[in-house]
Amino acid sequence: MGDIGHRHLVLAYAATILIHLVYLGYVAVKFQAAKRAAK
Amino acid sequence: MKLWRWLWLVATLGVLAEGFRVALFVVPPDAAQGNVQRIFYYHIPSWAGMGLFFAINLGCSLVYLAVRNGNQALAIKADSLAVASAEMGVVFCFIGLVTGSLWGRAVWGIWWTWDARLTSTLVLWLIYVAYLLLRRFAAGPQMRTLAAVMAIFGYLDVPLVYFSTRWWRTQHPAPVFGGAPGSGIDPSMMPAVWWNLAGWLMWGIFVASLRYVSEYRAQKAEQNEALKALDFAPGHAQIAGGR
Repeated sequence: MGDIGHRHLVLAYAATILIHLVYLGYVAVKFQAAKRAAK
Repeated sequence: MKLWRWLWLVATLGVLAEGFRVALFVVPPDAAQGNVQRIFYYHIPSWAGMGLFFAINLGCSLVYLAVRNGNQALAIKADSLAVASAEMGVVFCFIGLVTGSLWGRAVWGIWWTWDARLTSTLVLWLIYVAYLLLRRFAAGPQMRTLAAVMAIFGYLDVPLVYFSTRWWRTQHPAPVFGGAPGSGIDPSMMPAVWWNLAGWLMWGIFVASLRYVSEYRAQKAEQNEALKALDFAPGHAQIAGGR
């Protein structure tokens, strides 16, 4: 298991964080756009 | 961004950092799978997040359908929260599929198999992606009503996903929590579950709250535009004058 398991573990954690950050970026863009439109 | 959101974000990042530390460096490795089992600590919160946000979406869709003709202010709030929670649920579901696939490759030797749990989960993800696409591309006043109805039917797949490992024999393991007698994980591993569950749910609430605000503002602006257009409509003065 050893090496293969470690690689998949790192990939799973990295993928989780990356996907959340990508979505956060999308939400931040929407949030700023709505803020600008409200002014 | 308001102060409470900053405080919430700081607390969330603290809990996530602690969850990361406990999951990787504190709890012992699994006796059978070794370190790769630590994927579990990110995999389970994703499903919990998906369950929570799809349930919120269902509740908001029901509220929207109930009040859309009588209470416009509440309808806009419910519909905005429905969008935010559906997106957050889709993100969590996607992460669950990705982490599950990586875990499956390591322990089963395959990325994917068409068993009842994996297939019903993929179908669930596709249903909510379709829900978001409907909202994005359909036009007209009935779009929100259609989306709310679709959300209610879409949610019917959630119990199917949950019970799939109980009802059918699957490649996916039997339930770890609330399964047969003797199921569960060693108590020494539970801190990693709790920290990550709390951290990722707090993260989901933070991001969904931001998304809710932007959607609410957009819908309010759209409503104001529509009211303004009505004011300038040629027949409107006549109708108003005739009352």
